[in-house]
Amino acid sequence: MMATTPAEQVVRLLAEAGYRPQKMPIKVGGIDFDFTAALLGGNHSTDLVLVVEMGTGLDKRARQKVEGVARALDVMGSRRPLTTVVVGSRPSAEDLSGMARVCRVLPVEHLLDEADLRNRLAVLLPLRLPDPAADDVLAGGDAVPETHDEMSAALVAASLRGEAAVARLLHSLVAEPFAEAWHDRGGSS
Amino acid sequence: MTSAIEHLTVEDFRSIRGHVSLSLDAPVVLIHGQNGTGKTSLMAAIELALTGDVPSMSRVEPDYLKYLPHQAVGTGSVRLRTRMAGGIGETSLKVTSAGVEGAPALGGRLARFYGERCYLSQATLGRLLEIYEAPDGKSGPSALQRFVKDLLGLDRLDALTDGLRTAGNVLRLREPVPQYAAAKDEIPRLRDRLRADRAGVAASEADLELAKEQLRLFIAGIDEGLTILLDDRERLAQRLKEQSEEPSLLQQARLRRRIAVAMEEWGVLSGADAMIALTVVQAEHRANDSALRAWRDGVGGELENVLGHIGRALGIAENPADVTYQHACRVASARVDAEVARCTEVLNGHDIDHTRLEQIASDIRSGQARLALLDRSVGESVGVAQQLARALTQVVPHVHEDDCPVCGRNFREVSSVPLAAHLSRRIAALTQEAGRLEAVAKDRSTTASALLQAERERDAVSGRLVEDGVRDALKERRATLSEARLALESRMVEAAEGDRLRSKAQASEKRLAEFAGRDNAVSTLREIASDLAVQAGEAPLGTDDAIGDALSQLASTVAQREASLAERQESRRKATLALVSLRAIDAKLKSAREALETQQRAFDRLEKAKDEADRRIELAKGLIRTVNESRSRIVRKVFDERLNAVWRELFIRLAPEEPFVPAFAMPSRIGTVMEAKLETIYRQGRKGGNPKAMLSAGNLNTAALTLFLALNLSVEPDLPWLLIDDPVQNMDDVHISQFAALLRTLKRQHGRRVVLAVHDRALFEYLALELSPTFVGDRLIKVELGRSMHGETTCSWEPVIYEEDNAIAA
Repeated sequence: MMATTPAEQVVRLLAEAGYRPQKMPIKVGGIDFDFTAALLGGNHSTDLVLVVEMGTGLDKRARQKVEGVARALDVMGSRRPLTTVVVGSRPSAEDLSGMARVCRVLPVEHLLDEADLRNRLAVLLPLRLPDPAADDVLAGGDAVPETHDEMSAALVAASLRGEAAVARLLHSLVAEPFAEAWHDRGGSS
Repeated sequence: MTSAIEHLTVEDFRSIRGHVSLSLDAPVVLIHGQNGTGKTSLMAAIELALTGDVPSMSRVEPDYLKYLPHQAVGTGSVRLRTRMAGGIGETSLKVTSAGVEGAPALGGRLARFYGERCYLSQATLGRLLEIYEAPDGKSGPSALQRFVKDLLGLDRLDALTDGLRTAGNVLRLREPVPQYAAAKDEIPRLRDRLRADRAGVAASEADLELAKEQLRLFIAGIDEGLTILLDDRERLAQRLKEQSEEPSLLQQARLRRRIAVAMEEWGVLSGADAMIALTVVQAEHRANDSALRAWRDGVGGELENVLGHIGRALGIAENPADVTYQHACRVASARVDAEVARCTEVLNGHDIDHTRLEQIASDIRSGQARLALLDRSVGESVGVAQQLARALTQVVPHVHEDDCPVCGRNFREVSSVPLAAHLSRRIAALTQEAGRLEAVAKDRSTTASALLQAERERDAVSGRLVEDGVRDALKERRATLSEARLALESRMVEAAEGDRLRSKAQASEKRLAEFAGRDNAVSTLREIASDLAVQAGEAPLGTDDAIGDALSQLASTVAQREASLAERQESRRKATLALVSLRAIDAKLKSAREALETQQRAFDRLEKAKDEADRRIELAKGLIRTVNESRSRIVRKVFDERLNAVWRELFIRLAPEEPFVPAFAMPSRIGTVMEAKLETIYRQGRKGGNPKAMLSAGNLNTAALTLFLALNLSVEPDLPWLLIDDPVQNMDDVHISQFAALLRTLKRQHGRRVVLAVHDRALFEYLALELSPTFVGDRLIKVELGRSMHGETTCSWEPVIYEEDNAIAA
């Protein structure tokens, strides 16, 4: 399902990350606030995320609503981290810094491809780390190549004892076939 | 159970004066203090207690240990309680200006992990990019290399690539495996030698075939049956030596010689007169013998008497029967003639001597008469005349004028002749007289000597005169002998007849004897011939076989046999020689083949060894490739999928508006030395420059901070701790809020226990709010550092627990 507006795109991405979309208007400290969307963090997260459409000519109003929510949270002694995702046109610097004083502001602007959007909302999304345990190379800790013959296996085994041991083994292996050949030749050469 | 730092007690450590004790046992610990209140000292105390080292200090001050105690006290201590998989651990360190006493909580790898991955000091934050970009020492691995190696166990890959380095190039093997290099040099040389030796053997084999063919010819000449022994040289040699033609040849030669002798004998026996019968010879001899005998009884007897008479008279020992009669007659005549002549000469000489003697006597008488005459004529005056003449001569010079030097009177008184003339006339007369006298004396001496000679002759002749009796006997003997001579003369014809008869008788007698022997000889010869035939292996001679034909038949048979034997002997000689040379070639070939085989074996062994060594080297090379591929794959993975990916994820979180994202450039060549370069990547994928050139100071700080976090998050955390000392430098509010959100995520989602020191009060409060506990059991510890009036460090800490939030109606 394609989202048609940036706001919908944001909501859907956050919802996929475990955020719970709230019904509008949202009641904070007993006061109703109406936003394009609002989401609460789940899974031991207390984040409150507001999605605000801007560039509609009502930017000042929107900023005041955000500040209002922040104040309401303060009054309630809430420790909820507040984040505002601004979609639509980029707000003026004044509005932006004004909001940034009371909450985290993530400007999203226009409709973006998902990767770009993820970048913009990264702090709200879970941090995806490669799983070391899932990586076969790193799982064992010894990143040595697989071997299919005895000699290579011996050399690989010798690598545990360091470079000199490998060199010693290699040289003795290369020299080994000659032991008999040269021995039999005696001093004839 | 999560590893945790539970409790810390610090006393008089660095800038901390007095006693500070606080709990750190919470997912998040926030430490606040004004600058100089001891935040960094607290962090350093934790690091020291855990690792025994404070690298942020040791890097700049080698003697840092003596600055660890508070400068006013000189002795400090740090006590730390940790909760690890192994249980609760208590570490107590005493720090004095002399150093640190006690053992740190962590050792080895964990200590390093803490130092590099868990704790980010302010000093390190500023240098982090540099630390990870450039190797931190001339040698030794860079921090990044360490990171990658720690992460991947590349030590073993490095050990493999470094250890197998010599396999990459055979030249490098020359020293460690001289056998290999030697084999490499030796093999082509040996191959050439083998080729040459093989050619030599082939040539010897050809020689052998040739020599064998020759030998076959030779032994076929001896005995066709011997050719089967051609390859059994030992027996062949023995047979050649055992069977010799020599004895047969000798036998045949003996036979031949004997046949030749017999033939010669036969030739003599079968001569021209061989056919005359013996009886004829006998009759002839008898006639001759009686004729001789008749002659002897007649004239022969007289002749013998005469000869006997003469012989006795003259003492001739020769018997006329021994020589011819004619010869005896001639000898006797000659002797008689000589004797008659001698008698005649003696007798005639006597008469002559007699006459001569009378002559000589007459001569002597006349000589003596003359001698007497001469003696008288000379007298004694001879000498006087001479002396006077000499004396006068001496006076001549003294004569002057006519005065006589002797008497002094003038000569003129007596004569008209001058004195001098007179004197010289006198001298001349005297000298003439002297000459005459001298001639007479000479005549006398001659006469005397002639007389003497005549007297000597007379003596000799008279001595020669024969006595009368002897003269008569001689005359008698001459007469007798002359008569015998005449008698002999008259019988010379008879003598010749006698000689003829006698020689005829003698000849016929000899022939008789010869004829008597011949019959014996022929029968003996037949026996011999028969014997020879038997010896030659032919049938013995029959009584009617012709000896001559049989012998010449035999001779030709023997000659043929001898020739064939000689031929065989020659063949044998040649065969023996050929066999010798064949055996020499055999021996040579054998040893050449053996040598070749030995060499071939050695060569094969060497080549096999070299092949095996090559195979091993190839295996090693393959292993190097595998290792390199492996490393390449791993490193690429680490850089792309892990480090860069995580770093990017974190950086984007903290600086969502920054178009350039820092990253480690993939090492172009994955060798053992990791030359990591920093670069930036434009969000849309293009490459940018070095972050230090592309990013603002704040974002550079963010880059360093996120790199630290990325390094921590890229690996399985041995210690799930993050201790960060005042990281929020040059960060604006937006970045700070993002950072707070990131810390929350790390805490909540990745289980990191965070200790964060900040100097800014508002930030501290903001972070306390952002990192508030969000569920029951979650906890935040707020630490407040300060100083008392006396400069003592004050520390108050307070745990914040979860409280239900009712600000938003559900």
